[in-house]
Amino acid sequence: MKKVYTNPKHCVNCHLCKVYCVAAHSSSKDVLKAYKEEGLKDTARIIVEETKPISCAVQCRHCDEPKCVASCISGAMRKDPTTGIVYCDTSRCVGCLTCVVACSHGAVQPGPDGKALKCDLCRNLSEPACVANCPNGAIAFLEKEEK
Amino acid sequence: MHYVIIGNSIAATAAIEGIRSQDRQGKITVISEEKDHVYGRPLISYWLEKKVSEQQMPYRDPEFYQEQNVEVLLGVKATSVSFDKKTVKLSNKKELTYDKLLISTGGKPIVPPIPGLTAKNHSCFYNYEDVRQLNQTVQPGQHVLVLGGGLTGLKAAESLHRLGVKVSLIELADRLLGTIMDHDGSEMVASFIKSQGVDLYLGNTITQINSAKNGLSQFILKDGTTLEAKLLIMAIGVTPRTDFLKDSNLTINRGILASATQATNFPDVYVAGDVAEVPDLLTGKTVVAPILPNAFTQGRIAGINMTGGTASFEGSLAYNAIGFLGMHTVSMGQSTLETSNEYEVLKQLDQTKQTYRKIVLQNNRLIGALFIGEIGRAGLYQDLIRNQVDVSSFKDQLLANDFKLLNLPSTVYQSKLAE
Repeated sequence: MKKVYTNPKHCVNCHLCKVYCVAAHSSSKDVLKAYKEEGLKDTARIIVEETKPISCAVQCRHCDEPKCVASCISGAMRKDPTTGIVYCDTSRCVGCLTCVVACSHGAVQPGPDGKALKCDLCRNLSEPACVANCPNGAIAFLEKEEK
Repeated sequence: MHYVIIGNSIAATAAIEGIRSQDRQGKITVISEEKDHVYGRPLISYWLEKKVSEQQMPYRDPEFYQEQNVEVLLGVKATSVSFDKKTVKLSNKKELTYDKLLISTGGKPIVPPIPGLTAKNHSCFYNYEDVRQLNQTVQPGQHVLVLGGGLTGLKAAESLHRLGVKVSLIELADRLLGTIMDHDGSEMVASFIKSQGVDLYLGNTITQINSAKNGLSQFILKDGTTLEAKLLIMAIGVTPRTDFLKDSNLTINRGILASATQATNFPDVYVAGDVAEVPDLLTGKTVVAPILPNAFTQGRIAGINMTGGTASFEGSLAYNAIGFLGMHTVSMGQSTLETSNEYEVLKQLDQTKQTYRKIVLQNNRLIGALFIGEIGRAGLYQDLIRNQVDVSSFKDQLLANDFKLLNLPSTVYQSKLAE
């Protein structure tokens, strides 16, 4: 399956991937409205890490045998059997956050609403928003063997 | 091919999915003592406090059994198994013949013989039916006792407290959550819970129950305290549900002994979940580790192997993430240990913010961790335990609340980013 791969050599720690991730998961699909009207500021599903001088974006690896799915107490965390995308059905998430402890990449985070927050590869778009909006090509959407 | 699964909880569901990932054709029959569609047991406290509706209880979609082409016998119990004839006798007098069998019967709550204990003055807190009954019998303003200060007892106390019930929690040990927390962690949780209005009786237990007026009972504690309450919730633990197998030659220690492939000592018979005894990831000793992620993982592995696959369980690493009245806690591995000749413990405790971070190391490798309050990215620590990564080069970063992948050696984080 195609996944998002990041390259620390090209990352300049600009956080635009987070901004466009928030917008892509908003109702308005608009950066300004998502932040100012929908109150979605801290809901990016991609994490930007920095230990100077290195920075890079980190998000879900959509594992073959995802530990977050194995650990979910409500059945909210799923792996789509067709696309392989691991996503959280937040309407069923109770916020126990066992998935946060299960994820070996620390890629599932507690969201501001107390529920699990994670990358869903923008499953309704042709290309994830973080990839489409990275100014340096530090984030790419590839099959593993294309890397 | 006929796959028969005894039990219908998380391990069974994962086994169904495991089987169907390899074999779309074989017949699957699930024997379910409970009458409900599969649900996550930890959800019962959320249902009781009305945070989860009846419609949200099922762990899989309503069409799950149909889509997976599974026949589920609801309200039917397996009464015995003949491993030689490969048959399972059922409570409805029928008998099933299996080609491959999975035993995933889970645990059953331990009920100690307290003088005066009756079916009417106590309830367990284990299945959906327990909380449906509790919802009928307990009213806001009433007083309820919870016996057991472990995870189940605390979740029971939390949900009842949120319903407006007066809760007194009684624990035999001198502290709460003794299996997953050290003294500092237990103390932080205990003082928070008390501040929220739950009464705690530590180092205590119930020695006698008498009936009292108005449908109440009188509970006499070890230290002489007398409490009047509507009901006692029993939450002192569970034990593997193996009664129906006691006359067989199946190897049962505390639980049914499983190999790394989840096989038992009988051919074509597998075991998974809270009823199984499996190797511990770190010590290699066999343990019954009744946590939901283990049940799922073992069930899936058993399912794959029942079709002829070769999946194997890497060993149990216990971990829990539990919130109590808004205080989030995470524990993993040997989280209770203190500094000694053998172990190095790193701690950072902030009473004002009510946060606690603790790391347990042995030979510069993580073997346990405990977090209260700040739990973000706790999974990174779980991975350090699982892979026994040498932390010498970044030990001073381990307690930082922004601990991250980039703190790991570059070869480690680069390979993780490339997964």
